[in-house]
Amino acid sequence: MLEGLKETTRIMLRTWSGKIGIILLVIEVILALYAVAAYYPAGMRHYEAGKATWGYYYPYTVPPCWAASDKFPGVDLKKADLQSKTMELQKIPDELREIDPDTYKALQEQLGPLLQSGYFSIVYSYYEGEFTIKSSGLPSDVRLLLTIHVPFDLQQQGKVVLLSGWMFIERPDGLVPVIFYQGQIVATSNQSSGEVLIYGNTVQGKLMAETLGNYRNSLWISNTFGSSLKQLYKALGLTANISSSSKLNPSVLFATVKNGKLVGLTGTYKVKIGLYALVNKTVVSQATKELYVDKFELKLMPNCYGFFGTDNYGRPIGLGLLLGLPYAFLLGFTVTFVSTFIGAIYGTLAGYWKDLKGEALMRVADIMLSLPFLPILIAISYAFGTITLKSLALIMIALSWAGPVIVVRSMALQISEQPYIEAAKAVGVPTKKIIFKHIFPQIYPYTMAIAVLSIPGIIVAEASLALLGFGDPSAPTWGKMLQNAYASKAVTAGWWWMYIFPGLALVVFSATFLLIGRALEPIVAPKLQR
Amino acid sequence: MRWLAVKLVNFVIVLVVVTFIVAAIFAGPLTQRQIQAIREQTRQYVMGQLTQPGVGPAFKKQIIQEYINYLKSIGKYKPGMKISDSDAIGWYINKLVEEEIIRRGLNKPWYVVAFRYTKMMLLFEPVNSSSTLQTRGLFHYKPGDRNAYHIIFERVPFSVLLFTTSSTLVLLFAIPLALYAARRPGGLVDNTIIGWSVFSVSMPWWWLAMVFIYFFTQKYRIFPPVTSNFNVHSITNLLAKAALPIITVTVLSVGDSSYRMRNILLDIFNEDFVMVARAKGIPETMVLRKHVLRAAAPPIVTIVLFSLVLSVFSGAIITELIFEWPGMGKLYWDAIEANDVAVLTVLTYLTTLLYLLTRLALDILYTMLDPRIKRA
Repeated sequence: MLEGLKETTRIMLRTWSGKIGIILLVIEVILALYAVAAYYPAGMRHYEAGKATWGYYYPYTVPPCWAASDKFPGVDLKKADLQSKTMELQKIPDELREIDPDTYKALQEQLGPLLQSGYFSIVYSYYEGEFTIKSSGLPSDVRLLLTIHVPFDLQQQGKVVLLSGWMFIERPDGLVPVIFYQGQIVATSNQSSGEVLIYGNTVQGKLMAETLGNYRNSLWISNTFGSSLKQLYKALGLTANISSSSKLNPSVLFATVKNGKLVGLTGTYKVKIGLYALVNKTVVSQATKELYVDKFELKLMPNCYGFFGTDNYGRPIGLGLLLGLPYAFLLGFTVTFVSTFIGAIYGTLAGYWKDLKGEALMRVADIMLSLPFLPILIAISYAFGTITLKSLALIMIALSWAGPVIVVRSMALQISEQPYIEAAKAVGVPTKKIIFKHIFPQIYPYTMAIAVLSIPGIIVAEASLALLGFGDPSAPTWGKMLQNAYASKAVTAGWWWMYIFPGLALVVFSATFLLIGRALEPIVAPKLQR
Repeated sequence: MRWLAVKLVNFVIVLVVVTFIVAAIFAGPLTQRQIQAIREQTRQYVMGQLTQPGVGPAFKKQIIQEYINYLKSIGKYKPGMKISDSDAIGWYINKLVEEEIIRRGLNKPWYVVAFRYTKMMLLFEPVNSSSTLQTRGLFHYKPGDRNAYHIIFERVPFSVLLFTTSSTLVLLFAIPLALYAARRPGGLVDNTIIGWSVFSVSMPWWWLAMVFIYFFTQKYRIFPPVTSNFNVHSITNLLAKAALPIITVTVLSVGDSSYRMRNILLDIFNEDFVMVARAKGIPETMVLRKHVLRAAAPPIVTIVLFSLVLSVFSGAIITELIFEWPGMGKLYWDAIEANDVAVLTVLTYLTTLLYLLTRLALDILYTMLDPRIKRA
């Protein structure tokens, strides 16, 4: 057996198709083993099942880095990068004057006497951080996660009188866009949590703000941000773009105009966050005078990712290609080898029995061969609803086992008429032994070539089913990636990397087996040699 | 003519069995859909009666009386117990639905139901679409027709236009290519054909369709963009829309078709009679025309046409979807989207029928082209 394999491989390596096929197969097997070792099982399931979560860490629909012209490597500013100070003030924070002089003046009038009385003070938390942009590319996306901690005590009615805050960015060119700002002073209610979560996204073209707890009115963040973006557009001379707020791109925060085009503004940016609350000193204890940023992350997403880019959920395409490989192997090999094995035994029996039994077997096989594969597969998938990869494999086996029957039968017919079979029969060798010891071993190498050659059809059929929406919902197959590209209208959106690469992976994988199969054919069936 | 009769009888048997398989696959969903429709109709009927002035109160009284009788019959009725209206009405609707299900024989085992559907399909009994799918009013069909056969027949000309045009083109390109390659095996053309066939067999056709759409309507605007609302204003407009699908299908089929032809031709070139003809000193073109092509014609015609037909029923139905081409393949998608079991069933049946008919036609053609087979 091993000798035969060695010999076959040696002969196959003589042809160029065999050579390429074997090299590709070795690479694919190594990659598939790596994928299973590194990601099985949770990582593999997460790709499809947890697709909504990828966007937090990866940019949406960015091209591969070799195809991006102006690369932007990405910036990640975390809470640890921020300098912080918390203090108790007897005056309105000075920074407020920079952002909103009118409110500053109004507050001064309103709160001045209170603060001077000594019974009230302002708890003021101030954060400052900076980062540098060196590339002239634009971030694909701006994400901001900001959670403000408001102690429960402070929120009790009567203890906190007012709470307010802001965040702004000082650009290298002196412009100061305000990310959020609460100018109106509102008394807080006695709700327990005080978290603010801001989350930017260029896919929709606007900043989505989600506020929790106290700040359930999300509008003030997006409104401030929207008008601040509009001001920035105006300052940069891009007045044409601001008519519709859905076209505002948060990336403009880090951009300038050069030759009429938006390019990244290089230099050092300063991020400043201020939070303050007016507290009654006589009621609030020292321990609860804490008002601080709990979580902070400012992410300028890169405008390209790896060698393959990312999809519309932010999933790296390259990872999908890797994870799809074991599934392609699993499905292709199981279906083709099991169905060819069944077909080979069936065909051998049909050839060996020259009576009515053989004829009946051929009728059944003929009917199986008369079923158009894909339409019936679609029909069954539809009748089942969603199907798992396992049941898909079973259905495919049930539909394709008859493939090699006719060829195998004619081979078995020929062999069973050989004198040594007649002799075996005459000596009284049992039928089972004749079939499995004398006839079948001569046939199965050839059927293995058939099996290898039919792997591409199975993989392509799975992809087609997936495209129609009948794929296994949790398996990350290449067909699912193509379906995702089709469903997200990647073709019209110009996201070519979303479908070119999975398709190419399919082509290379299928081609491997076609090349090997075609190199195998003349070896296992010398009659077909040309 | 005995061979023809045998083939025809065989065809009918296979057709009946295959239709039964299709019917069995769809028996479950079809029955469910019918029961759903019955339930909906019954509910509407009962509610309509109840709200009708004059009839309503008496009808309600009757329903409650029947419900009480039913409760008595199963021994759950206690005198003076409170009967809620909704319970009684719900029970009554269920009773009517059950009766109707039994009357229509939908409670029978699956094979009985499947047999009925088989008969329905083989006799082409009209079936209405079970969703909002309807005819668009092209050709001689009225718009808004919900007969599943009409919905499908309206799409057929589009598929035929696409696939007959590309088949003709494929044969036109593939035969010269195969002849050239077979006479110079291992040459540049030969290796190109081998590589091309590997490439085209190993990918989903609709994937190349996506790539072509990107390149030829987006990046380089050679062809009109693919849009989901398919409106044909004129013949030129139709042809402009058909151009890219036809090119895609042709490009994909030529590789494999010429590879298969080349293999057949290579086999024949190695046959003894060709060698003899050459040895006799017959000029090469004559050998090709008189000996090789005559022997090669039957397998070439059948294998190439058959592989083409096969491709239509495998990858090509989805290619239409990508091109938004309103043929039978696109209808598959529309029926799945609309969750329309009736159209999907008839469509699968007609596709299978068409597939079997093509096989039969090619089989007969092959037998007629090759006189050696008839005697065997």
